[in-house]
Amino acid sequence: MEKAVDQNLSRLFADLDTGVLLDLGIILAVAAVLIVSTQKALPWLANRLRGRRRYLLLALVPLLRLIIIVGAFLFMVPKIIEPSFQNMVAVLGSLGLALGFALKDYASSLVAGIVAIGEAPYRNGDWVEIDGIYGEVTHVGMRALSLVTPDDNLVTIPHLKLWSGAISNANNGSPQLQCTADFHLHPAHDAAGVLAALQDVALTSPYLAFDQPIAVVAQEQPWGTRYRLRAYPIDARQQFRFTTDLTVRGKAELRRLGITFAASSTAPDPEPTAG
Amino acid sequence: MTRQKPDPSPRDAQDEAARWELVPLTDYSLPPTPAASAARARWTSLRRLFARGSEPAETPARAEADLRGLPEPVLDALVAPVDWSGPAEALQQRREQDDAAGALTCVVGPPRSGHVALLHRWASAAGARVLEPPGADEILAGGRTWLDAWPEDDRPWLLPRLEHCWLRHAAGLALVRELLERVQAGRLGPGVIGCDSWAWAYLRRVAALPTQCVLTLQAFDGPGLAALFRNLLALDNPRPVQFRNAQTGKLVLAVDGEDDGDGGAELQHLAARARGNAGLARLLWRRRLRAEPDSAEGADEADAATADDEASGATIWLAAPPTAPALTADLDEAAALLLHALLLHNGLSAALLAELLPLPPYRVQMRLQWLAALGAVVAGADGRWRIHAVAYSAARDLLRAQGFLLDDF
Repeated sequence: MEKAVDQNLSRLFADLDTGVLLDLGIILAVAAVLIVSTQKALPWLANRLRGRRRYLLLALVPLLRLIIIVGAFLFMVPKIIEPSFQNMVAVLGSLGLALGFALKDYASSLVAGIVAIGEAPYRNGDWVEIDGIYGEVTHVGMRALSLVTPDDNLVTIPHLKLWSGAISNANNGSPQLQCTADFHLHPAHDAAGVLAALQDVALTSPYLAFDQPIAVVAQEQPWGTRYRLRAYPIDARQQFRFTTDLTVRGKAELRRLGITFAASSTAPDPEPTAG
Repeated sequence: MTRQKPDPSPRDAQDEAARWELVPLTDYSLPPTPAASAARARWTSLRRLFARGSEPAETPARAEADLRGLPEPVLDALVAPVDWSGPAEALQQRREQDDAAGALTCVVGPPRSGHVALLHRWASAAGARVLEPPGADEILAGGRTWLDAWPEDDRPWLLPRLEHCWLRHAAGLALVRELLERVQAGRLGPGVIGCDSWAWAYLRRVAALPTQCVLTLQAFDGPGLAALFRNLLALDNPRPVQFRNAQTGKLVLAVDGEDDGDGGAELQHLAARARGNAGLARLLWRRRLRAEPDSAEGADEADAATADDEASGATIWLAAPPTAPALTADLDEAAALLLHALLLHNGLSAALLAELLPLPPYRVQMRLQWLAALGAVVAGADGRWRIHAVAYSAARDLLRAQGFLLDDF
């Protein structure tokens, strides 16, 4: 019986002599060098470009890594396992079982990482919000992605979140990202004048992307009127500077027009009832 | 020093008439970019992408290093200022033809194209009143005083620089909108407006610009520039003049010789670099002219005799095209904002730049000094900083790469 098992195993695995081990080492080394070089070179090059070319290059990073890993795997497997259908099923099935039980979450993240490359809910350079954390995607790894928040914190989030959590992507692979500046005004004012002034504030911002729309949304509130000025900067990375510029210059222009700002943006307390 | 042009040959006269052409704005067509020129531009761009900091200056050829620059009078004799009387007459004829369409004509041109000089020439011939733009304070205050002081006689008027009648500021657009509304309603009488192409591109998005009778000077291609440079050579005693590339020795342009040539690839490269802008091409051409070292004696004395001798001498050498400053796509954002603001307004003072951009004054000053050291901007006598002629195409390429609003030229 033991002899039969030994024979089966010997048919399953190829002879791992020095030549095969050398081949495996070379394949691993080449794959590692290619992965490291693409991971370093493409983001470096992308950060020297602007617009769509930057985002395209950044999105290529995880895809190239996956291709290299799959390629290396396909080269290595026939050198370890005798390449027959039965052998492949046996080995990959065992591997799947082991991963499924022992490393469930890790394996799930790896699979989600592959799905993330295909479905692209986030790519390098995108501005996303996951579990309340907002930031720019700087790295999409096999197991997790990295975000840099506006506070310059690096946050690592496993791809596992893809299965159950909501992912909000603000620019979805393009340089355009909508920004909003809020203005809370006293209710007694010329609303049409404010709309025109805020449009001009956006039109005269040096960060404005002209091929995108500008919108001003007014909403009446118990304490006054809330205006939301929505526009797009030239590059998504300018979003905070753009919003700041809209806010600063919007306030200055509204003051110049003699418009009073609301004292408080919270609803007034209900009047006490008599009795 | 009075300089007379020789009687133009029939060919030159024909070239001149054919080249300065006022066309509707939408008919402006860029000269073809030679494949080698495009490849060279891409290679330079790629090289700069991988080389941080300023690029080391290219080593000049030995022959070029031995050549000497030419004094201004000689340059003026070789590349004289453009005589705008022909285009000005064409503008007047155009206005008379289009009279039924309205009393307003707009002439738009890219920076340094010469359209402002053309308009002044037209105003002087047509007896038009030239109007000065309002001051910055007046623009930001709405400019009613300036508008209300508009002359009310029947004389045509010329507003040569519409780009100086507005500011990219929330309060800086009211005046130009009101001006355009009054002009198009015919309330200000007949007139001509000149506008820089960058300001026109911006104003088209924020104000109601005229759509009828908007003209521009058609772009020049290589043969067009050859004809222009031949025509700009002012000589009392014309003798054959050859312009040769100092590095290759090849003939670029010959004037009054047996073989006038058409400038070949060299002038096509120049036309492509200037994007058909003849005024800019003329400035770049002038910067390349050098003289033989043997004729250096007495050259510093820029008298008429020397100018004639050199300008009518056998060979003028062309140095390598002036190297554009290294304005790469990863340039500091503040510098890009400055360059764009300068182009949109066709020059601004440092104080106004600080007013219009979200940058503190000290940072504006620092960036301006850095850009000036790089050769990208230059301060004018009027206190306005402008993009240097040599840096214009590099600045435009940079702003295009970064996604800024561009002109249509």
